[in-house]
Amino acid sequence: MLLAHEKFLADPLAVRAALVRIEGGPLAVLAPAQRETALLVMAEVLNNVAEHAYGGGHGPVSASLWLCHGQLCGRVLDKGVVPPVFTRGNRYDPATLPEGGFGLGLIRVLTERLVQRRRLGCNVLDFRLAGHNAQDTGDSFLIRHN
Amino acid sequence: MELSIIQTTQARVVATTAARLDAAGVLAFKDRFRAAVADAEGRVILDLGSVNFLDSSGLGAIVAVRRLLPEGVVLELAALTPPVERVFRLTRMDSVFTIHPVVPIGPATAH
Repeated sequence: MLLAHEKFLADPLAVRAALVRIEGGPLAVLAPAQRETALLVMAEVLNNVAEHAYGGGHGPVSASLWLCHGQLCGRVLDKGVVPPVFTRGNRYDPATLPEGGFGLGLIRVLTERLVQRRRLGCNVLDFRLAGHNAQDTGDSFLIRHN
Repeated sequence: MELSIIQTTQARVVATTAARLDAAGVLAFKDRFRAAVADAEGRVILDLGSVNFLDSSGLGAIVAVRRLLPEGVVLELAALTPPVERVFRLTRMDSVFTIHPVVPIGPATAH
């Protein structure tokens, strides 16, 4: 069941406006935790498109969210350059007070399926949100000192 | 991103007034925070009670503004809403800040 579909030119203000539309629309029927997770993952993905795929410029982006067998899934399409890979690296030590690098980690910890591919000149990112039991440990952020 | 400022006998309390601290608002937040704490001494408490959406850019800005504080001034956080607290917990940034459940209010003084 399709919950939301947005098309716009990616920049931080347009991302904010799209998220506000999504939050106040179909996602309002979801449980608060599920809605917050969906909005946060979508925000991080879309900001990543604006910042990296389009390098701070403007470019078209399409974002969709739907329910599949009770789980929230999403797809984001853009025509920018190939963005950073989400599924490896990017761990940090909180004690060093990093000022960035949180976004990719949040996406990773809040999703259980994440597929990036390049198709017909577009970046395609498909994701499925993690179940509630798997979300809140934050372990994937840590560099462990043994 | 407007900020309100209250000087108490114990700390300077800088409070957000917007519901979102996100990529679209971080530059204004940093600029206004810098002005708000330029002459602060001792403790600065950032009251995030108005914020119900924090993304990674907003989190990065909160970490970054520690470097804007005058020497010897400490930044503490207060009144995190559940979605904001969750971002801090997920990223383990809750381990590097002193976080108060509510703003520890002392008698206000003129500022």
